[in-house]
Amino acid sequence: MAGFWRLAIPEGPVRRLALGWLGLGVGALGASTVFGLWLLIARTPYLSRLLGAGGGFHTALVLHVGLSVLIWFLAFACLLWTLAQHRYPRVGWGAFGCCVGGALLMLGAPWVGGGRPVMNNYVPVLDSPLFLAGLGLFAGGVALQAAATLVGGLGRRPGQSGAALRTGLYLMAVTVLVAMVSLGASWATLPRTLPAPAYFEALFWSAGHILQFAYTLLAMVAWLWIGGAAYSGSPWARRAGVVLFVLTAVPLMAVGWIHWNYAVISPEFRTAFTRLMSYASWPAAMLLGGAVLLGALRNRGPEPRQARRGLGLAVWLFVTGLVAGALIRGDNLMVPAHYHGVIGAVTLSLMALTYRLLPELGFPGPALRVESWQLRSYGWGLLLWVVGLAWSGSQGIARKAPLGGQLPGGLEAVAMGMAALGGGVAIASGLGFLALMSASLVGGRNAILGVLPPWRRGAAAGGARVDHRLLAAVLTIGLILAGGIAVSRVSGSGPNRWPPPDPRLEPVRHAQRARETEIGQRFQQAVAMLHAKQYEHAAVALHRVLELAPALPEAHVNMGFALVGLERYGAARDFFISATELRPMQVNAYYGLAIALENLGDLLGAMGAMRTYLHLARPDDPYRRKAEAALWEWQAALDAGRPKTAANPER
Amino acid sequence: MNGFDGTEFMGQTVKPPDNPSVMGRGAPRDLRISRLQRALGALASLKLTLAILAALGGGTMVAYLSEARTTWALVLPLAAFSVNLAAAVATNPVFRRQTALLMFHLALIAIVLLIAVGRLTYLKGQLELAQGQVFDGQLTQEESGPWHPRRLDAVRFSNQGFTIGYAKGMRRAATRNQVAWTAPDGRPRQAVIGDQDPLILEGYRFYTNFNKGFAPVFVWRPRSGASPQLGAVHLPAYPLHEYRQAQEWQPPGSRSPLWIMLRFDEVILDPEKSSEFRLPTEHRLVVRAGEARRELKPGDAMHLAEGVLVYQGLRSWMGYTVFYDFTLPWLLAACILAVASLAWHFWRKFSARPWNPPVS
Repeated sequence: MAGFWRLAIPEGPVRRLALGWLGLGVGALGASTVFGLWLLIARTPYLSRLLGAGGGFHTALVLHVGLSVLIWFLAFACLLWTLAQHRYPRVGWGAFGCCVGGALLMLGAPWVGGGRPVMNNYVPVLDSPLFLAGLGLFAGGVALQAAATLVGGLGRRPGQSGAALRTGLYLMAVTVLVAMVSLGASWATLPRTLPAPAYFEALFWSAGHILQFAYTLLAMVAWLWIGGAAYSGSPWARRAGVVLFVLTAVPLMAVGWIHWNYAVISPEFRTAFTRLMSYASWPAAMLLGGAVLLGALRNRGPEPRQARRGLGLAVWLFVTGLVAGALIRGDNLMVPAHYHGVIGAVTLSLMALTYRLLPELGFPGPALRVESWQLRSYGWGLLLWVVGLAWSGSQGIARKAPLGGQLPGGLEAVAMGMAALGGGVAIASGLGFLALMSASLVGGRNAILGVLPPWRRGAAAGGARVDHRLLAAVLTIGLILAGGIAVSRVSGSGPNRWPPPDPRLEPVRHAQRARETEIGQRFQQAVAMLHAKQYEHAAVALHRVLELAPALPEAHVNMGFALVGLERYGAARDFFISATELRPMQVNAYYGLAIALENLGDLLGAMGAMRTYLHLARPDDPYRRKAEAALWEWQAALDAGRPKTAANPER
Repeated sequence: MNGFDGTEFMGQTVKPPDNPSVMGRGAPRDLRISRLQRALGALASLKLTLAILAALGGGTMVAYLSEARTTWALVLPLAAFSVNLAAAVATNPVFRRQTALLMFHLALIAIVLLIAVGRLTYLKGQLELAQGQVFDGQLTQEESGPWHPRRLDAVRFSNQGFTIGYAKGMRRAATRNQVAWTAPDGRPRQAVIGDQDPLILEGYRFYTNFNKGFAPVFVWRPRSGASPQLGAVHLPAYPLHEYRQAQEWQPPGSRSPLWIMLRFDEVILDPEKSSEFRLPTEHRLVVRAGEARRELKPGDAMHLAEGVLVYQGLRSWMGYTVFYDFTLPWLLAACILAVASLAWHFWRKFSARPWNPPVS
């Protein structure tokens, strides 16, 4: 029964709201594709020189991820929630307004407020009030729509139309709300003193992982909508579909337990969410994907064969992404290979579902042949991209960094070229999707108004009215945006690139950048661990930092403090001394040295170190008063002939 | 559709609501549309356009003549103009058919809005840096829009020295100023900037300007025991104030001003031939403190009542103009689009052929 696997689309305001969500999602996907093109150029040998060193890579990456993963997916989720439950249309419009406003703020932030890009996992951000306000507004809108869906669905017995899909959509709404609550809990407990990368990494860690469950449910809904009729041969199979939705969402019951038992900043918290996602988010989706694929291969059901091809590619992409995830052995390109596979599968599924929804929303879909070409080219392009990235990752190429004019050699060049080719095909196909959507929406609108689109004007000889306003507005805004970005790139990159990079040094610089990136990440981890008093983990991270940068005095100092936390005072003393040898003005090293010496019983030495600290420290140094008090107490203890600890009150 | 007829929902047939008030805020839809059209028609009025243009003219005059902040005198007419134009585009049927003409008008709206936003967020300012000095976010002169996102405090760069050629007749040629800064990725960067080639940091464009001169560098050791301080005194611009190379200056924490004058005999910029701005090879620095007068060479110290002034040497200083307006690239793109779409419109208009040409 096909009605079991789809939702009826009512007329009137609900349909308009659904169209609004679709427009927001497709617009976000379009903007994300433009930024994806930017990233692709920055990662492609030879072409990367066009953008110069850096080339706004990280800002483009933040926007690409935010638009494609957050806004496109969640706007589509809101569209499906609107169709599933629409008792509160005004709330729906309010949520839509919040989301549109939030998306515009996020998109406008780099051009108005700037903000440093922070490359944390899952939800990378620009550290600017405007971007963060936009993100918050968007999240609020999505939460509002999810809550309205759940409240509207309470106490209503599911009918036959889309009963299984409603189960999946309600569970997805619950998942999104759990993510929001988890985000709030992380925000409430995180120390604001953390440096931005560590702060945002910890802030979004749990919510980012929970959202992966929501995206999996979203893909499952799309698979069942497209191929459900082929899959549902029996009532048993229909029940199994519902059970698979439940099985995907049930593991999230562990979220509360994890929050209750572990500090947000602790490694156990990170590991728990990683394991939750690694082991629990995908098995039910794999089973469902396999069953739907098998049904599609048997060529059953009313859906066009072309749609099922897109569905098949989506399932294969999902599997490829999972395999890449299993092969992750470090922070390299295998990581983006994993998430591009999985996310690409969701995107492809949503594209295929969009084609099915268009006629039901009153808009003409493209010809089936064209639709099939678009879906297949996107799927195969993404597969090439994922395999190319995975291959590059297996050779240890760092992620989240542009090539910057570097010319990789041998297999590296082949792998990255393959990724670039696949990425180019996928982006071209993504642009094709947007063109088809624009044609459909403009054409459909004109059809509703009783006119024909421009390319069919010949048929309008009977005097039908022609309305080009939407087309002209889209063209104008697009051309001004694209032209402005091009002009700002050209005018903003002149003398700042002087002197020109020496190509002979570029491979060395690339390796150096990768090393610097890892040093930065490990160092931030260590700082976060020190703040959380996780001294063992901090020492492990600092050990790696010292391997990569043995002459970094800050790393020696922090290792010293980690060892003080572990009560290994002799080793701590050695690290503090090596820090002062590396940089005689490293003020906090003298403070740490004094604490280590005090605990080793060398009060005279401790006093000498503390006096040096006081001599070098700024007048407003927050530890100055504590140091003065310690000196006074040590002096008193020496005078009285009894050692006493004062500099470190925790001991 | 295999049991699905497109109107079934939750087992019931979905119908449009009978009562139009369900769809809106009480008024029938046609009535609401009619009110909206009337409102748009009023906003699109050409008389209103005339009034707005007059207001814009008035605002421009105010901005030109007034010393006070005049941003809103321009922004408000511009915003009203964009609303007027947008209403005209929405209501005038001619725009529905003529894509090129519509794009021209939309580009005009974009231009007007961008100018308004630009006036709200721009910054213009001046600063001076001695050779080796780091810019610390402070400007000597500044004017900015009320919504300017102030990020100058995050900008740091240093003046690494400059060369300026002078053609015969003391005509200034290109300025080549080497600057250094740290990129966001932590790597040190260098660039040569000039009057037309800016250094762009955080969206701010730093250009060299015609102001430059000499800067004696001192170490001031106060007798109060406070820590010594190093600083440069910027003498008036050279060669603009060639015969007035003197400046009054008060050492940090001191109550008595010092008068400083740079003396040198050689010709730095010769009007009879090509030359280059440079420091004099030999010079003396005259320092007056009350009745006391000393001529200092680099390394000399002058003992004063409140401290010891040690003359370190002579350097140059450079004047910079800083400019911020993030709308400019989009403004250029909108202008190009407006010109291109108008050209497209007229090309279509004048290249049109009658569909039934007269038979000769």
